[in-house]
Amino acid sequence: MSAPDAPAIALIGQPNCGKSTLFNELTGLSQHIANYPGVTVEKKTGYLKLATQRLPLVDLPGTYSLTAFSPEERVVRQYLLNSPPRLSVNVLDASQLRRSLSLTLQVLEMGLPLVCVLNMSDVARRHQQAVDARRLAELLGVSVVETVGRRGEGLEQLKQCMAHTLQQGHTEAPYLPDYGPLEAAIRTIQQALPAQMASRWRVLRLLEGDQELQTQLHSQLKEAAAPLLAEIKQQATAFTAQQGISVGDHIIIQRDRHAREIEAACIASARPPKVSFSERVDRVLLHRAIAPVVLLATVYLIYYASIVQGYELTHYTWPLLSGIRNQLAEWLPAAGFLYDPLSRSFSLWLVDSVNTLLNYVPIFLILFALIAILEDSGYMARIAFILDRILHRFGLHGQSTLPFILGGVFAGGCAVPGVMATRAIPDPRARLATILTVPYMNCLAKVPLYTLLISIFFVEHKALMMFFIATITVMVALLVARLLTFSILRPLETVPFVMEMPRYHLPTVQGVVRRSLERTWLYVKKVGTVVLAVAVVIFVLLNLPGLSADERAAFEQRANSALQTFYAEIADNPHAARFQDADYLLTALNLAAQYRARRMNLQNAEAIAALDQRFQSRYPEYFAFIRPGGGDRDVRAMQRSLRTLDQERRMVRLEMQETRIVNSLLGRVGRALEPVTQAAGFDWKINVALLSSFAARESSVATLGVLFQAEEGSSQTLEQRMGGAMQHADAALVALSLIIFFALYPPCLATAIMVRIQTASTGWMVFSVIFPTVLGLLVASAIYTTGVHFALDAVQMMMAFWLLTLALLLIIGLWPTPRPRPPVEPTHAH
Amino acid sequence: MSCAEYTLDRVPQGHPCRIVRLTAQGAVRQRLLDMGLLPSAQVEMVRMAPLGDPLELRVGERDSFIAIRRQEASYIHVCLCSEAALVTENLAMSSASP
Repeated sequence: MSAPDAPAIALIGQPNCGKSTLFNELTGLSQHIANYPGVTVEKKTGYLKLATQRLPLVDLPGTYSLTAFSPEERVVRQYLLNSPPRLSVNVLDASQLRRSLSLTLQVLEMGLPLVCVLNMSDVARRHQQAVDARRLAELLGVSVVETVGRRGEGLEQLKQCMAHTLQQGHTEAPYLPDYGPLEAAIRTIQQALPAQMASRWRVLRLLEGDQELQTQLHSQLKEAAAPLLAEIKQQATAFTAQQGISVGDHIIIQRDRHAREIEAACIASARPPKVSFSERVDRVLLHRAIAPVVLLATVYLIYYASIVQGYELTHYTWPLLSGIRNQLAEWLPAAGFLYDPLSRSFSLWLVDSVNTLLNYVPIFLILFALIAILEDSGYMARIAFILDRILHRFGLHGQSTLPFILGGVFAGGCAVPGVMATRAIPDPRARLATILTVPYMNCLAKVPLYTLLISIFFVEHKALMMFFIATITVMVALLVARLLTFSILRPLETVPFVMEMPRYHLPTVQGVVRRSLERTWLYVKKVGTVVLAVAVVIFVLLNLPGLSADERAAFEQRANSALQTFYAEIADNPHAARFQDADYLLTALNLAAQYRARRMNLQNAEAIAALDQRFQSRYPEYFAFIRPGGGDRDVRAMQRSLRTLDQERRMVRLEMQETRIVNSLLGRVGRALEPVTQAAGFDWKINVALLSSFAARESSVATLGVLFQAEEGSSQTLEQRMGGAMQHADAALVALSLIIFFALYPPCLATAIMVRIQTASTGWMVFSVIFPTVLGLLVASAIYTTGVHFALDAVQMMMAFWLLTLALLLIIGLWPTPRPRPPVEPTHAH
Repeated sequence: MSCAEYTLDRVPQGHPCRIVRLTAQGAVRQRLLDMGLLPSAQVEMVRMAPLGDPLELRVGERDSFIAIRRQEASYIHVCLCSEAALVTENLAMSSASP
């Protein structure tokens, strides 16, 4: 954790109090906000303009208190202790005042300069529980500003108040909780500690026996620490003996009493709060019979809107993307008869790699918008509530839901934010199990390959197949989680499930749109960086060492004979003279290819006429020969001869490219692996694609796209090309085993790095890569081999595998396990 | 004051209770305390998840809702606020089997 050089202003508050919204409003940065506890897990820094100054503002993770039990608490605490901010801005949830105040009081006890923000005051008012901000300021001894973060109300007052407090300096809070019988001990220890370490908060924590602070005391005071700690311990023991209550309990009860008194004084309403809107909604949505139906409907709706409808949209976006590629192809140096300039082939390779992925952007936009609605509305926490029983059963946690959904439960997500979001899971064992299983979800980068294979081999079973993929990955992830938590993860500690149920909010259009764009942009950026880098590497690996001299000579020989045939054919044609010029001939061939590519994207007669006109005015000498049909007898004869020559040229070029890949480094590795992968039905081309996708899954489709090469000027989709190339009998079975291998595929490079960061262990990162590879290969081999052996078709095989997995899941899920009981307590106490 | 003490996972839906003590230690205890589940606080189980676990609690007099597993609820010892409202047989049955 690196502390910024200049002391910053820190935003602190409990989870889900509206801190992140406020941070965005203050800095103009957009950070991920959700109505879901625990979304901010790292601290984020932005800049805030106060009058003429530009000050760093740090958004700390939401935390309930400043003990050191959870990672969030540790982050906040260490930040506040090691780099005390110039000013802390404490965001309070006006509708949860009493609980919010417990953190406020702790920060005040630390002696940190503070401004309080009373957020969500609209919600409190609606419940007729309006908080008197002025009274609250009096009782706390710090400034209090009312805001409604979602509507940006109260921001200006807050800025003024911050500027004022910074200028004026800090005044000690007049009203801190009184700890009664503990006060004597507090005073004694405060006097014994060096002045800069004698905050009330530190003394209280030391009396509670805080390990971290004890260690710190040892390292700072050296020998002097031991007698001091002995004194603290003796005071605490004496207190417990006298009062019959532990110091920790006493402190928290007194602090809560203080908070309750403040709350009672600030909320004027004598009326008891009426049953809230959220509670009334939950009576229906969380009703035991209705909840599962609503949940399933929600999941289906998301799937239908994003994947099914989103895919429809790609029919409109694809011509756009291929138009860009065609335009670029025209600008780049022209293709040679056999060999293209490197700048041409390399640029087109990059554009193709990116285009294949950009094609799916509409799907991501819809999906991310829907997830944002789920998070902002508060329903996501309800999903965790409904599903915890099942997830817990498999060693996971209700809060594993968000990482899984981000990772792509609904077919389409990204494992990187998924793994990052596991920070919110308080249970170390469930957290690690979630980290290791999130990559099984169907991330955005897997979707293109699925959609590709489905639209070639399972056109009639499209919906069934998508259902199969979406469910099988979840089932396998659950089984793997169970397997891991009951084997290698067993020694890890587990902690409780205690989760706040946030109120329902109506998501704002702006918030949803912004998040959807942001996450999609994140994906595109990943395409722009990782995939481009990988595309470069793969291009090199696929093109080196290239053709041997003999192969080269053989191809040139064929090209020459094709040219000779052409010239012999056109010898009598009156137009022959121009084609004697090699440049003219080549330009004519390339323009014809260009024309075909453009024409392929057009549907109506007007557009075609416009295209004709454009080509005619731009290339008057060529146009007659490149546009099929039309012209006199001689022109048509010339068109025919050109077409024959062009076909032969394309054939030779294709074979050259294939030879080049067979020779290439990656091709050799792919072929070397064939003996291992043939059990799963993967040939070397698929191996090459899978190898390239280790670096980033996105590139699998891009690589397949090139391996099933597009001929120069062809605008056929990859579906058409692959379908044409993979026409052997069990191709669908291979496609199925490829889908399953890909579903279980290890995390991409970026995810593996995130796993390394989140687990702080290279060992787990290596494990997260190797385990799924082995598992995936085993399962894929089993499916392919069984399918071939029993002559089952892919759909039957898929159903068999699905049922088997479901059976396994049910057996494990329903197998009774004794619930550990706490030690037997007497049932009567006084 | 003397009262019959139950663990919270045994109290049926809709009975407001007052927390007597927590038997959990360490992180579990801290988490419960942070969420407002303090001795003397009022708490009521408002509903179960569809599969019977976790439970949703209303904490305090104002609207603060918390989801908690039965396992953790069993660390919370409570007294019923109004013994009269007690569904006697129901409770007797569930607290009879340890």
